[in-house]
Amino acid sequence: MNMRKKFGKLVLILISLILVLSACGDKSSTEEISENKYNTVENGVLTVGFCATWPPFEYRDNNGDLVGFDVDLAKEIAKDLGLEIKFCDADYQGLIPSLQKGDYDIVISCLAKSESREETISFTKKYYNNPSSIIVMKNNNDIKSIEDLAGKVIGVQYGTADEMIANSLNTDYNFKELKTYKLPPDEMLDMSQGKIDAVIVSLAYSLNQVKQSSNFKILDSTFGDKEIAAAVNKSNIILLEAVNKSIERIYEDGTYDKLNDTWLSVK
Amino acid sequence: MYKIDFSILSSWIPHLLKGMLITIELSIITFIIGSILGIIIGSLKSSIKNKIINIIASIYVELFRGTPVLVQLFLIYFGLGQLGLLFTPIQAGIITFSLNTGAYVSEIIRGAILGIDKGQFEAASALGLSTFKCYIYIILPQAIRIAIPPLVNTISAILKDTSLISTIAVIDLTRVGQMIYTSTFRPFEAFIAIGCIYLFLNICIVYFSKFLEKKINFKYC
Repeated sequence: MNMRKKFGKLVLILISLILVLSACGDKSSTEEISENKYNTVENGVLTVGFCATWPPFEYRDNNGDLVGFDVDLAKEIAKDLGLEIKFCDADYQGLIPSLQKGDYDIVISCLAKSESREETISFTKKYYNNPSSIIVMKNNNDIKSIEDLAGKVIGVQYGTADEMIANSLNTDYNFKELKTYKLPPDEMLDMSQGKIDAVIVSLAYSLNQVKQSSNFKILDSTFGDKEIAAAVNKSNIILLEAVNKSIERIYEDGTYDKLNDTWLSVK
Repeated sequence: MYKIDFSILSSWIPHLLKGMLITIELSIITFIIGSILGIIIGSLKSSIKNKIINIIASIYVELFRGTPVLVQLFLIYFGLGQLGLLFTPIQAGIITFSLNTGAYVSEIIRGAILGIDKGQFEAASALGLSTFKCYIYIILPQAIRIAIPPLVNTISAILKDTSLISTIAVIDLTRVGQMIYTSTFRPFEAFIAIGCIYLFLNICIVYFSKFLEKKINFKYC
């Protein structure tokens, strides 16, 4: 009998533990403030999706806090719209499907405009121009220009506009192999360990890498001047217009230059 | 030369704890729902002679055992989302892992029931118990006792499988490891830390199961 009591207690403890834990993930239900002006996922909140592994646009600092150009830009936009802001740090490759599905209101993740993407989502006004660049190790004397990539192993992040550019370079210059990676740090690490010869990645990213570490250098030539813009769900025209207006404001009143100096200056 | 430095982890401790909590929460909920589902399906499969129910149960088990969990997760999260069935990442994770666990647990339970002596069934019917009562009072309590070691195996498999949820934007323990590595460029320290936490959680499960086995065996011996 005693055993049974003890076992009962154990079950009770377990159940209460589960209840406490399951309460942690719950969102507290917010009261309806007013009607949902911009048709956002949560009323009064702008849910921003991005992949925070992409300095200087969006990344985590050494304390794990979200920082970067896009983070500040998103905060400015949310301020103009009068919404609270909520960031969702997700996989880059899942951003567009999740936006379509309705998990986020907007994706601000250094996303390049492209025709194929425009079929499924709506882009806002561009806020940056970001060509692709080639980054190699500093002590690499084999690769001096784009022609030298022939017969080399090249890395690129998949699902990005850089990948499309790498594919077209591959047909022109015949790489030995084009390796695709999930995250930009993966390819940089592989290059540091000597597994690949060069990485094709956006110029803003490679400039930031060179700024952080003296091990890398960037080749002079760049490719494809990609226009970087935010993206919203195709059906949400009200939000698109409001965001466009906000981006105009950010350009006009000098906020853009301030953000640019903080995050994107090459010095 | 690369210098190993674990002190970089100190500022990530709050994130690690949060990630750990999500992983534990997800594993416990998944195990509970999955076990209930598994026990129901396992006993249905071994007790009811109805062909249709048996075929449906078999299709379910084979479907979830025969496809990768990651594929199931993407199908439920992105695929069903396209059809208008919208789940949050956590919900999609719980549904996928529970259905998957249910498939495995049902086979464990079926195996355990097969291992019970025929005399038990005969004695139950001799006492005039219905099939339902026979299972609830006589067969399942014994079967679950036999099933404890493989069930513990399942919990530790769930604990590790939940790491897949990091692919659909849930910041669980694995995702925190990825975060540390991508912002510090220190994969060695980051994944050693994450590995140790998973190991610790697994050791806790093993000790808990030993404790449980002792108690339950004692009760019946």
